[in-house]
Amino acid sequence: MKIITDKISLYRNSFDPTNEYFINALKMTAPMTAGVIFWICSRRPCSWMIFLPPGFMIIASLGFSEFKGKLLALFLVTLNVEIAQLLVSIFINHKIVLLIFLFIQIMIAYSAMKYRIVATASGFLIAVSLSSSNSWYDGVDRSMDLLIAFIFSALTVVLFDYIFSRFLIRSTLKHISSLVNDAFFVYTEEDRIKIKNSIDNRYLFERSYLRRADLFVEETLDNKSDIFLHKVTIGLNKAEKMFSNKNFIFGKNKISAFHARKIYYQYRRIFRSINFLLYYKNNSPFFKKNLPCTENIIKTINDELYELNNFIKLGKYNSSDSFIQSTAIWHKQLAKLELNHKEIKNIEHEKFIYGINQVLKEITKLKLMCKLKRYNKLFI
Amino acid sequence: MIIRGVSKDKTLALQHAFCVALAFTVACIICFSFKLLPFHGYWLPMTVLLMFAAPIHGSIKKRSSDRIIGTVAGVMLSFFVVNIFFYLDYRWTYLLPVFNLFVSYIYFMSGNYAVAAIFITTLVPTSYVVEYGDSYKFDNTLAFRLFLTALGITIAYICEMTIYKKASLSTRNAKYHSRNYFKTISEVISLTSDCFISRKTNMKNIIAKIKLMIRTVSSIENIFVNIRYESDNKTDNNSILIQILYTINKIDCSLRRIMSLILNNKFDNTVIPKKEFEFLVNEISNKYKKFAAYSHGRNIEKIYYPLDLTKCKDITPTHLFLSEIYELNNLFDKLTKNISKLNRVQISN
Repeated sequence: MKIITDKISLYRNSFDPTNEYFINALKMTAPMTAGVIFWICSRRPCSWMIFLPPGFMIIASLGFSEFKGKLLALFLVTLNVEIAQLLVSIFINHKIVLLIFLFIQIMIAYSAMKYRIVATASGFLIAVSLSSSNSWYDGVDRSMDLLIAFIFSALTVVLFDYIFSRFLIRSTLKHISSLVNDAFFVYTEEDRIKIKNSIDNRYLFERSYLRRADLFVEETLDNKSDIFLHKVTIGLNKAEKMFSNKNFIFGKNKISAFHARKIYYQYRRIFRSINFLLYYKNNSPFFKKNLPCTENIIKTINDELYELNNFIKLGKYNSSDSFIQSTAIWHKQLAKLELNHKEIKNIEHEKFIYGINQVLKEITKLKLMCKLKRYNKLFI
Repeated sequence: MIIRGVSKDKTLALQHAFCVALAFTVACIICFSFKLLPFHGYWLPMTVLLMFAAPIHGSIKKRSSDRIIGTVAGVMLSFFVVNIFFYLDYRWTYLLPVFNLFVSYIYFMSGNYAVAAIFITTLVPTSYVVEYGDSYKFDNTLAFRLFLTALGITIAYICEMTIYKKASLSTRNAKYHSRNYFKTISEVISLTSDCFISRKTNMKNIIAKIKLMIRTVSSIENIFVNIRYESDNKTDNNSILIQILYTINKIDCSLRRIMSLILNNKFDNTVIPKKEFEFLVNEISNKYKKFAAYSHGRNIEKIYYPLDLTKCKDITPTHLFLSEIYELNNLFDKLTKNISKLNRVQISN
């Protein structure tokens, strides 16, 4: 049983690491369930309009990052279906007139590319409403139900923003920190089995993504490390949406996003520096010979990234002196190498050395940020 | 007059809207003329609209097969849910939200259209049973819905292939987005080099361009997958696509390194004169700007490298910047050379 649950959690961690998809699914289900409960509790003859449309309204609003855009999407779906519902009720016995009106309505709804998802969600509901009983009173009844459905959906959007925003910010940061940590390990470790057993996102390393576009891109890449790097890039780009594009309604969430954004950009900087370490595996004999402390500094950086990851997960940071000591030894040996000029360094060696120095600098900055109290508040 | 006045993209949007509206109206006419509405005839216009719902899920061919698979699975599932679980005990109805949560979660994770079809095909009939208390029989519901699905797919397919065929082909989008991508790269190269030299350039500009680049990359990746499923795709196209995607990945890697360099370092005059450096960067940036011309066979201009980086002993960040710029140049040359070769082979065939 434990093996199965472990497998499921590994799978879920790889494909929905920030729980964003789960929250979206919950967001979609919540107003539908609320509609059913309202139907049962109010004991009035409600129609399917009260429990089916809210889910589709929410789907239409998911494509918008601003709160106003989301509300507008919900409103447009409601308006579109309301108009169609009234048209069906009025013209059900004049089919040709009804067809002309519906044609114009669908044409207008689909002509705005930005709101195509709104048109789709409402078009689906318009089609279903054709089949319901079409007396005038039933039509008005369903229109009222649709308004209640709109209220449920709008409330869900506001409530979910209040309840889950901080959770999403935190889980996205956790995910980013583990991705960057793993990216460093994958670039500096030669043993594939060790990579497979040590990294957090091992399922992501071993298996392909679920989405077809990513599968296709993965076919074009040379090795597992590059494929993994592509996945890390996708993860970071998705997080960009959370920190740069999304607008939060409540002040508390806005402050959290503001602080989290700084940590996120610091991790992006570390990731950019990690891109210089691409040349390590081909040149490791050179470094073993001329810079024996390379392995030690890599291990130290790994430990430090792990500690920072732990800080983001648990809010606790165990500082140790080994990072400062190892950095000092590394710089000392580097200076010696540059003075002696025993071996001619090439551009790849220089890029790797530059990358390590940058990673060390950026980690030091991140460590300083972690010591600040305002960031501690973000995670506890 | 209205259509003539708007830009090409808006015309295509109108063309698409006309296509959807016409398909929907045809479906409604069939429903009204054969009096299908009392027998769950709404399924026909609903299927038609859902076929146009998600162009991101691939070409109409791919969507049709996904829709059929999803409908068969969904109809079976709802048949079992209604006739076994609801029949045994009405309290099974309470599990509908859980089912809804589960299937929508899988859909959001996978982005698979077949899963969406299963979700809708199960949800709508069960909602009907909940509201009207209908029994859900095999003959008049299951088989009939399958028939209506097939009919709806046919209507949507015919409409798209006759009215919207050219616009719906991803090749056009792919060309547009690739050109945009390379243009953005050209801007990023010149902006980053400006920043590296003077550090006066607004970083916001660079960040905005990088964001645009990220967006175009994801569009290109999605569109290139769609091309593979389209009816007029040739196998030669695949190798071009693979090359472009491979190069995009390498370019991204290189640009990330450049971003890291400009954030912490300054241009060093002693390595290379400023004018020479600016000239070199402009040349490479211009190459990226004119990607379309090069990929159509325009001769690749060789760029003069003022430094031999393999012989440099003291390597500074400026050297590293130059090496990244050279790498970008080499990647571009290789890519355009191969694409123009493939284009020539296709034309001669």
